[in-house]
Amino acid sequence: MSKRIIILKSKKRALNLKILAQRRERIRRRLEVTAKKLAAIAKEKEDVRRKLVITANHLAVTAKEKEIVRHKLVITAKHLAVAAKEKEDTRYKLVTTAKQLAATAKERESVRLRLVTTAKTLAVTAKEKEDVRRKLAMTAKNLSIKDKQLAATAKEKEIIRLRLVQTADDLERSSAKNEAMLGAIGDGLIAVDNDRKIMFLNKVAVDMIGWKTNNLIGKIITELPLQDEKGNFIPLNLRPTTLALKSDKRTEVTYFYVRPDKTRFPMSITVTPIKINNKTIGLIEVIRDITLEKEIDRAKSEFISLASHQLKTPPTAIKLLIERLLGGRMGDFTNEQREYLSDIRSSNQRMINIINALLDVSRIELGAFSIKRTEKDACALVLTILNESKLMIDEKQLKLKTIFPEKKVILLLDESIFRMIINNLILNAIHYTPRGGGIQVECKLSNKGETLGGKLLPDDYFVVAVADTGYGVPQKDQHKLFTKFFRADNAREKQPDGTGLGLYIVKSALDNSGGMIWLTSEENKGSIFYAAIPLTGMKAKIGVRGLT
Amino acid sequence: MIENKKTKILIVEDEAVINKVYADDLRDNGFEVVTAQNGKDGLELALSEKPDLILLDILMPVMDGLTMMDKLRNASSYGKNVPIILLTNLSADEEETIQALTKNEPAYYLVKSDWDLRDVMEKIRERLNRK
Repeated sequence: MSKRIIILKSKKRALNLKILAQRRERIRRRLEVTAKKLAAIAKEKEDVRRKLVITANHLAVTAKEKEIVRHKLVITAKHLAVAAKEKEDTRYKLVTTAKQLAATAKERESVRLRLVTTAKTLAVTAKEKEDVRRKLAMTAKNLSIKDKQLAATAKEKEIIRLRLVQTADDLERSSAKNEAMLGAIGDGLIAVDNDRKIMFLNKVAVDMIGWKTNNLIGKIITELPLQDEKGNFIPLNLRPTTLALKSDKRTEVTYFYVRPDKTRFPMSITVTPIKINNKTIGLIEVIRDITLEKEIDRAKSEFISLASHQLKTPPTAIKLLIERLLGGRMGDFTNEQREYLSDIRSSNQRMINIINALLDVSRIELGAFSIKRTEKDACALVLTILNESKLMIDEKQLKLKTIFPEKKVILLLDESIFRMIINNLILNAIHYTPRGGGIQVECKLSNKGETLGGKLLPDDYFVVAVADTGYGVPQKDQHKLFTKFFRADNAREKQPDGTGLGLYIVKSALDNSGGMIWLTSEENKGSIFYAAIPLTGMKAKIGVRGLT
Repeated sequence: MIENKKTKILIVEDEAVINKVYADDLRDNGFEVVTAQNGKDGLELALSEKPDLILLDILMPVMDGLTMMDKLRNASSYGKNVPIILLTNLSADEEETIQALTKNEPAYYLVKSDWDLRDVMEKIRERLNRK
């Protein structure tokens, strides 16, 4: 072989060795890396293993602890079960003991009661024996006295006998007189006892009721049918006998009585309690057929109604005509003409006011008005009426004060009449008090025997007191104030437009409903007007229509 | 167009002067007005003219207002629904009857002697708007 080839081969071998060495180096390096990675992984595994061991230890501890706790709970539960059972036993024993004690106590009590009863019986027996003994002693005494008396003259006996005959005679005559009197009364009379059983009726009552006398004696009077105007039957609590028994005073009502043939007529009923030694032993009821009275009322009312319509029509026409003229759609007027037209209008309005007031007066004079009552919150109503005049009060810059009781007052009132009364007093206070003055409206409950505004009250009342700081009423005029058409001079001067009828109408309304009105006043200082309504409510009145 | 049609009002009132004043005032306020002076004529006019509202007096000769109202209400569907305002002077019979009526239907009423024309107009407008 040539040297060149050997050199070449050696070079090639050297190269191959180099390449191999490089390869080995690479492989060695890779193995190193891999060894490091494996070491890392082994380390990690070792860490994980160590952690797992620790966790396993922990879990073992926890499990052990749990086992201890569970064990303790089981013991505690057993203890509690024992305790509960013991408690149950004790409770059971207590209940049993209690029952036994109760039984014993009950037995003792019945024994005790028996002893008491026996003691009472013995006491009564002893007392009775004593009474009997005493009575026997008394009788023995009396007999001996009587013996002596009987021995007295036959003459006395004779005198007594004659007196007895006389008295019997008198009684009979007086009874006949009573019968005659009762028979002569034009009204029906019914007497009932405390249970309202009919004991007696006179002939007029029997005829009015329309039942046979035999069927009436002993009947409870509330069986007789009564109705109101609309035909509703009057409930027991509103029957006149109930009201009289409740109030212990004379009670007057008006209802319709229904005859056996179903026709009905208006009846006035007055019930009065009969008292002996201050104890009520029964009631007397007086009944009267008021059909005729009602017809007369109706006729009066229709007359007033017709007069009212005829009287009001012309001024109404004038009022409308003036309004049209002044309304501007009928041509212009000079200032003077406008003024005249305006004067015609106010004169006309005064005429309308007077006509209205006169019609009210007519109704009052003829008694042709009714008072219908319903339960109302009296103070709330007063406040409402007051508020309706608020504009006027503010316009005159009057200071207003109101005083009301804390508790609501519910009263049987005819609302329109009550309104008219309160409204009248309030308007008077406003009209007759100068600008910047003051008005006070007070509502209060006043009792029988109290003195209010100088007046001694004869009963219990709901009072509305309207006070003002106005012109007042001169002393000399005060007693005339409530008469028709009266106007005090100072009032006439300050307020030319009044009719002089307001207070007359208010007084009539109050008089008719069982109330009162009075005043205290000092000229130029002010006045207080008191309107009082009985606490039992306004008295009812049957009429054909209400008062304005 | 319907908007141009004037609202028609029937006045049934026996007092000629009062009838005239109400009629004039209503016409000046843009209403069309027909009038009658008793209940019988009023009923005929109501059924033939079919006004949008009726001012009805109560006390009238030949046939009074309440009788007319009753007949009208029972006459037709129009009659049943037409708004009515009663004119009254509040005499006894009227007051009780009105009170009885206002329970069953919203019958308005006004008191002739107390009310201004302004009040009447307001009441009419109020009643028409209620439809």
